[in-house]
Amino acid sequence: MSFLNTAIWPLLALGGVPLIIHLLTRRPPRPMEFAPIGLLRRALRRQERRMRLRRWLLLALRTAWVLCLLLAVLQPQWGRPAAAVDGDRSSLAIVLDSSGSMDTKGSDGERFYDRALAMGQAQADRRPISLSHCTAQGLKTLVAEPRSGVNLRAELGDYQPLGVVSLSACAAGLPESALVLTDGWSGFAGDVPVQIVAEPGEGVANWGFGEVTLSRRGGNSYKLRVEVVGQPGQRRIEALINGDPRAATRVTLPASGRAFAQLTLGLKPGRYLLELRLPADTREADNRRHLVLHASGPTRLLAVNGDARDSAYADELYYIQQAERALDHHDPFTLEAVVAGEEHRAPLQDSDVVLIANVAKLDPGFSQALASFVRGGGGLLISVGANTDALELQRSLGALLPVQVRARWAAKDAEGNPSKSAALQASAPQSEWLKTIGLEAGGGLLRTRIWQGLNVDASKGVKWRLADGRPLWIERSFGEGRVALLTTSIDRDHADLAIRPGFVPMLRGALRTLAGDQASQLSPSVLPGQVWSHPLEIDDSVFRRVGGGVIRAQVLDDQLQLEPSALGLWQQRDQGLAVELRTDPLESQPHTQASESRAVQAGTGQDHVPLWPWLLLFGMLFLAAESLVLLSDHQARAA
Amino acid sequence: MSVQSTQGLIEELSRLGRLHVQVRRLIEAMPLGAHAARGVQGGGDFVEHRAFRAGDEPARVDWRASARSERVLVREQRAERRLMVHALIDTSASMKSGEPVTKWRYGCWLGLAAAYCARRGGDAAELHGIAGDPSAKHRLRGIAELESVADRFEAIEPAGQTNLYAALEPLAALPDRGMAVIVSDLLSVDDQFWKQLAELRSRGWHLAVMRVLAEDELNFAHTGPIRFTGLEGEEPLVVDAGALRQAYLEELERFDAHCIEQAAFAGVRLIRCDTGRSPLEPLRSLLEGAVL
Repeated sequence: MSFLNTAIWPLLALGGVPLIIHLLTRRPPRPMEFAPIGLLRRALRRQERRMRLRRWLLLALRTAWVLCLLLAVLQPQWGRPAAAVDGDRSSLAIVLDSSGSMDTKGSDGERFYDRALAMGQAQADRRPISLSHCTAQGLKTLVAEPRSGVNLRAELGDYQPLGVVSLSACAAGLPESALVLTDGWSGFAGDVPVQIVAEPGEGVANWGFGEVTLSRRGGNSYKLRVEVVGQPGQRRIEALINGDPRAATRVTLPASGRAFAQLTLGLKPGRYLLELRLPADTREADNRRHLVLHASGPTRLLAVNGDARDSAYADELYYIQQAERALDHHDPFTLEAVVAGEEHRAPLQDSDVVLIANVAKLDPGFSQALASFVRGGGGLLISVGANTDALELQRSLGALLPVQVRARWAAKDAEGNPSKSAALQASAPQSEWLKTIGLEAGGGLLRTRIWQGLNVDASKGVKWRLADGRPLWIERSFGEGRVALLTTSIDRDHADLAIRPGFVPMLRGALRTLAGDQASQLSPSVLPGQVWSHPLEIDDSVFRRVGGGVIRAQVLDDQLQLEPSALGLWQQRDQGLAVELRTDPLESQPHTQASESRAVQAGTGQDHVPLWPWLLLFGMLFLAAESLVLLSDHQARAA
Repeated sequence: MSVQSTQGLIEELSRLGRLHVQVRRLIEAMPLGAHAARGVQGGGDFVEHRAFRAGDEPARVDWRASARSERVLVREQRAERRLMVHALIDTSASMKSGEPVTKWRYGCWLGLAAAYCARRGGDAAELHGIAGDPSAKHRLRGIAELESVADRFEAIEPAGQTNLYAALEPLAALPDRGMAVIVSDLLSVDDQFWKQLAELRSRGWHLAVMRVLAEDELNFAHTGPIRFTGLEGEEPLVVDAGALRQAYLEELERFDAHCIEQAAFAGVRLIRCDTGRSPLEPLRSLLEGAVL
């Protein structure tokens, strides 16, 4: 409860006037001789209780109507924030809710933020104010000391409401004479007076984007998985590539207000500006997403063939070529093969993964280049065979080898002769590894048989073993890249892996994994209040926003630190780096917060009820009641 | 005399000063023939039939008339012998109140006038002052004595408490029947008094009680806080008179109803007098129904 006219609080003391009058008017009784005093005494005995009650009733009624009238003059209001009263001229600390939801338009087309500014300006025009606003980064003070004539728009500049804020945290420590101007969609539980600028149910018809992820379906086909939040219902999503509409779909949001849509895009290798759009609603800012999409095309495999044959069937790479052919139209890879000894001519820079297949010895220059290639993010797959010399392999690849290699082994029959029939069966590959390369449990590899291979000392990075525990597939990181070692042949000389049903998908997945899955990617995004950091690789730290705006990233501990100041895509000059500032999905879901915030509203009370008319009414009723009592007395005397 | 002139009678009487002059003027103001010369009782000329009352002698029942009317009737006959009329005037302190005429003075008017009328009708009359001075008992031997008797009564200052029951005892001891006119405010009487009256009535006495109350006692037109003091030694009482008026008037009504009920029970005529009204009315009521 608040009072509009607090200046006359002392007048309340007049409420004691009836009591004073009552006491003062107790005149001393005049003496009188009266013969029938016995009758009088009996009458008094009968009426004493009623008379006492009447006396107190009169006093109570008199005091009540005087108090009611005095309180009515104070103009009390139920639920009205004390600090926002019109007649008050004391200083006021105004706190603006600058969350993203304040950017929502109300039923009259005006943004809640603009309403709040108008309300705050109305206060600033009549009293000294201090000004601060609650942002995603916390409470920011704009005018610290209260002063008159503050222009809110000038103080706020071009700041636009953005992000999710914690009003409770912002309001902590505020003085009593503060006023929080908010749309009521941010949960708030404080004692500070709050002015809700949004009407109940206003502006809740809103939708926005959440997470967007990209995956490759194969070839030049890419799949976008787009999260949409907002009111239950159906919305249309449109995807534009470099400004041209490319794909569209519809998504139906359930009661939870969160759903995912899938869009398929056919793209040649290259960098694209991807824009996602939702139809217009009460808030525009969350209806657009701008991202950079990098489509790299098929994985490029460079194979060094250590056992080239005239007969294709007997060639070491025969089954690799078959796999390439099989994947021609579905997530393919390209194969560039060089014969061992010619590897120094191989186009290493145009490759994603290098395969060293049954190579006896590598060119030292190639080995050195290979190490740099892998360290920079490339992939390396090593398979062994009859030509493989463990010692030479160790010498050629050195630190690139994920394990220490030993001598080769061969399965032997009962008489101790190497025998294919004595082959060992492979155990089930590690499920995590299978998942990484995109295969289900087992992956069609369970009945793989191996009869010759390479002994290695490996305790870490073993993804697949033989039944006797010997490592079959070892994989480790090297710099930014990855290296895998297959301890048997990639063809059918030492194992039947190449004819297992899971060979082709395993090869496809392994190559993509070793390539660092660089085939496609989206630019990263950050939420308001978050800082994007990246290993420093560039000299120029100036980022420009698509649509206007420049910002310089900070360099801290060899990291670029960038906190975008406006929604949208921020790109570095040479297009090498891009980061997007997007809206928080919570900003787009006012309907999910409405009930809680309305509860807050009830507690803080925007729906104020003026009490003074009721006080006037009750005062008049009390006065009428007193008059009736007195009138009845008068009539009784007259009778 | 018109009603208007009778209402102004009090003022006129008050201006006359002495009591015997006032009484004489009062008698003069009464219309001629307003009263009978003698009392009504059995043994003389027939006057009328009336309903049998407790105390009536069975010999006075007119059986023939009773058979005709199917109720017991007695014959009222004019007394043939002299009747002793006792006028008992309350001289207790409570009679001092009343403006502009005190109850005491008003009671004297009534009592002396009644005695005077009785004497003029040939009956004997005796005046008693009850309470206070026990010697205030005077026989009105002749009309000429009115002045001296009035002077004696005028000299009486009402004081003390009323004991009407004790005042009636000498009458009960008299061998002859008579008539008693009791003038009092009846504020202190109890049921013994009424029983005594009933006893006298059963013995053939003719009884009339003239209850005199002052105007302010009947209207209680006071307001504001008043410290009321009783005239007969009662504890004082402080009340808001205006607030208590209604309750007092209701209490007065109860008192009135009680007196009427007791009087009817005792077979006594109760005449209620207001000092603010002309004494002619109660006197006429007394004389019209009395045997004087």
